[in-house]
Order: sequence, then structure tokens, then C-alpha cells
Amino acid sequence: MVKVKEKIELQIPILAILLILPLFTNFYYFWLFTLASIFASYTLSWYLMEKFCGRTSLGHTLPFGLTAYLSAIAYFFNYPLQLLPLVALIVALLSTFIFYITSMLDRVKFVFATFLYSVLLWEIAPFIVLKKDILYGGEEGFSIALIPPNIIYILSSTLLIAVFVFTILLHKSSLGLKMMAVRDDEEAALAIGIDVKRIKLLNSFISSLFTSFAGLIYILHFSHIDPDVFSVENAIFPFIASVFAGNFVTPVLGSYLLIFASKALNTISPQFHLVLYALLLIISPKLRRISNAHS
Amino acid sequence: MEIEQLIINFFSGVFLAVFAIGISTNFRIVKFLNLAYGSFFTLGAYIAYHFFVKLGFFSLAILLLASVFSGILLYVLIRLIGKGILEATIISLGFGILIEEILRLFHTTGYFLILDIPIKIYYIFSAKITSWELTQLGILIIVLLAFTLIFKSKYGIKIKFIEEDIELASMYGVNSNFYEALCICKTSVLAAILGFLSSPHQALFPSMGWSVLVAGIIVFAITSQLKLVGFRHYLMLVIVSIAYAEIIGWF
Repeated sequence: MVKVKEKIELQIPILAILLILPLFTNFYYFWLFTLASIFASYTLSWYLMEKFCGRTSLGHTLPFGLTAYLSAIAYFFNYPLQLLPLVALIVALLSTFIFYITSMLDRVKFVFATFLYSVLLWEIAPFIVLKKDILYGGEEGFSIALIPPNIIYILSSTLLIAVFVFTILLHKSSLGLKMMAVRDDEEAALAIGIDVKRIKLLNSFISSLFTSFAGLIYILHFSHIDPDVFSVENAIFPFIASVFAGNFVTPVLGSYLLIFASKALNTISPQFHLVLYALLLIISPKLRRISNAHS
Repeated sequence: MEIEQLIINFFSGVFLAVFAIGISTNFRIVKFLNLAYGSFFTLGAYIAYHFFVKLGFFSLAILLLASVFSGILLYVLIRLIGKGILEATIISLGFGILIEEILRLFHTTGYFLILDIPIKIYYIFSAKITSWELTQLGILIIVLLAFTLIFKSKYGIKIKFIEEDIELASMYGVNSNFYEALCICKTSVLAAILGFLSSPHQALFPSMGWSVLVAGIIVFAITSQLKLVGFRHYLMLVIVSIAYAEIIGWF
């Protein structure tokens, strides 16, 4: 218990530094740190499903991208910005339902199915097109009103803190223990009286809800969205960012590192960061084994 | 009009069947979902774009070399790094993205590429069918004939054994590593040939393989529910592919 406490005490200052640092940088780095914090929330929300329920999802672009996409469409049809969290909530509920149904499959099939969702969405999104002079999106996507960067920074930081604190509290709670029992052995969990279905449903909901809100802040940050929000790049991002995950701050650090490395590599050649993603993905089994052995 | 549509959808189904056979073979013999399969298809299309006009059908030699090399590399990576179905699948996903990104890096001047060569068109019940589509049908027939011969030979028993229980097959002396490597190489060539042949008919771009891959996985997933083994499974895969293309094509 003391060891866990020590670990958490060490993680909080790291998170605090990551969130305070952008205040002392120029506009570009401020923007980049904000983007990194959005992706860190996305990764941590994904990690909630992986760490607590043992389900590796390659389809978290469903709540993330769909919230961003539907929010932009809602705004296009004059839906007020203040009510966009409602869109995030609806998408979270839809994603919960889909993830829950998919979690009935075994762990390997769960990965395949979620990957199919993300690629299917990526393929379908460009079909929302221009018809009779009315913009329905398509390859060009949608735009929404520009929000001041300071507000986005506050929103993204708040979300990241909320997900982080929630994850730590969940880890210590009886609900978290039940989730981890389901992760380790579903049948054994059932035998000791844990309602496995309810636990899976709750886990899907928590993970989807935070991811949806990360998606909402993502569209507010860019003020524009296109079908590439559902791309494989975004689908695999949390998987790669949490490859060294031992505690809860490493997925956050991983996301920051990936975002900064991506921007640096893109100066060499456009999209060059995807080579890094691909290489990390190839060696990820080995890295995960090292990380697991270490933790 | 309806017969025309049926014929066009039928040929789409034939294409899908050849593609899905590769995905299925990888899953049943090597025990992983080959997510690099769509990238092998893209690789074949890009080889056609660069070499077909200059070298004609000799460019198939380059295609063969490139796809076999990629297949072997994927196999080596899986053996070196991956343990189990999930890790192998993740490695194949990374490998697929790597192929795609290398192609993207070497084609920064234009995203969509067009291979402009004359296409022969035939009419079957007034439906326009290209020589490429007829070639696909030929490939499908060859693949099915090859499967018939393989499954009737002594190798067929070994393959069925690997399909059902790879560990037991290894214990009984079946060289599963050899069959796995051969399977990845053959299916890589198959996907690359499909990409090569389809290159004059569509715009080429690095992520062109994903949509085909998804359709192939869906068809394979549906067929797998029937739990057939050996040649029957592949025959059913063809039937499901054609039915899938007919239904999707109708909408």
C-alpha cells in the first residue's frame, strides 16, 4: 500500500509539470501541449479498458472520432456549441453499447472486431457528401467556430486531470478490483459472485465517456474535422502511446512524447511520423513484455 | 439491366474471393489475421505503375521478388517478435503501415496516381467486363484447382492437421514452420498480383488496400462461422464472397 502511495505521489508532480509547462512557452508550443493533453486523455481513457478489463481496443476512434464528427455536423445545422457535450454523451452511450456487445467475444476477436469498426468508419465517413448545394462534409470534412486557445487549454487540462484522478481512484476502489478480477479470469470472477456483464458494461461506459469528451475537445481545438479522424493512425495511437505503461502517468508521457516526436519527424517529410508508429507497432510485443516484466 | 448488375457484382465477388482466400489461409495455417495483406495489394499496384509500361509482363518478375521478400520479412518478424495470434496480428498491422508509408514517402509529388494503359473490354449479356476481371476469374479457378490437388495429396492431410491443431501437428513431426513461411509467401504474391492487375482500373494511393482488406475480413469472418475444414472451407469462401458482392453491389 505504501509502495502504491509512493508511486502515485511521484506521478502527480509529473502530470502537474506537463500541464503547467505550456504556460511558459510560445504560442506554437502552447498549441502543441494542448493537443498532447487531448491525446493523453484519449490514451488514458483507452487504457482504462485495457488495464482494468484486459480488452485491447483498436476501435476507440469510434467514440473519439464520431463525437468530433457529429459535433461538427450538429454545429453545421446550427446546434449551439454549449450543447455539444450532449452529443458526446450520446456517442458515449452508443459506443458503450457497441463495445459491450463486442466484449462478449473473446479477447482476440475483440481486437479484430474493434479494428474493423475503426476502418469501416474511416471508409464510410467520406460518403457524407455535398448534395444540392448543401454541405454534408465528404473528404473535406466540416468546420466549426474558432474557440480561443486558452479555453481549449483549460478544457483539455481539466479533462486530463479528471481522467487521471478517476483512474487512480478506480484502481483503489472495490469496483476497480472487480474489474481487474474480470480481466484476470472471467469464470473465476463469476464464481465469486461478481456480475461480469455489469462490470464490462460499466468499464465500456467509463472508457467511452472520457474518450468521447476527448473527441469533443479535439474538434474544438482544430475547429475542423475530416474523415482522417477515424484513420488507422488515430486508432493505434493509444496502443503505441501506452506501450511502456507500468503506472498511470506513463501512457500520458507516451502520448506527449509521440505528439512531439510526430511534429519533429513531419518536418523531415510529411507523414513521416507514421514510419515511427509502424516501427513501434512492430516491436510493441517485445516492448510490452519488457514493460510487464519490469512492472 | 438487372442481369448486367448481377454479372458485374459476380466479378466483384470473384475478386473478393481471391483476396479473402489469402486472408483465410494466413489465419488458418499461420494463425494470425494478416493486416498487412491490403498493403501487399497496394505494393502490387505500385509495381505495375512503375514497371509495367517499361517492362511489360517482365515486371511480374519484380512483383514476384518484392512480394516474396516482403512475405519472408513479415514471417521473420512474426517469428522473432510475436508470440501468439494477437501479437502476430499487431506486427502485421505495423508491417502493413510501414509498406504504405514507404510508398507514400517515395510518392510525395502526387497522392493519386493513374496507370494509363489501354484496357480490353468484353461484353457478357451486355455487361462490360474487362480483361482484368476475366483474368481474376482465371486466377480463382487456378487457386481452387490447386487447393483441390493439394488437399487430395499427402500435403493436404498435413495442412488440415496444422489448421486444426498446430501444436499437435508439430509434435507429430509436421514441419509447421515450413508450411507457415510458404503460406505467407504464396498469399503475399497472390495479393500483389491482384493489386498489379487492378492498377489500370483505379486511382492508386497508399491506403487503397484498406477497404479491400475490410471486405475480405468480413467475408472470412462470415465463412468461419460455418466451421468447415479443408477444401470445403475455401469453396464456401468463394460462395460467400460472391453473395456478399451481390448484396453490397445491389445497394
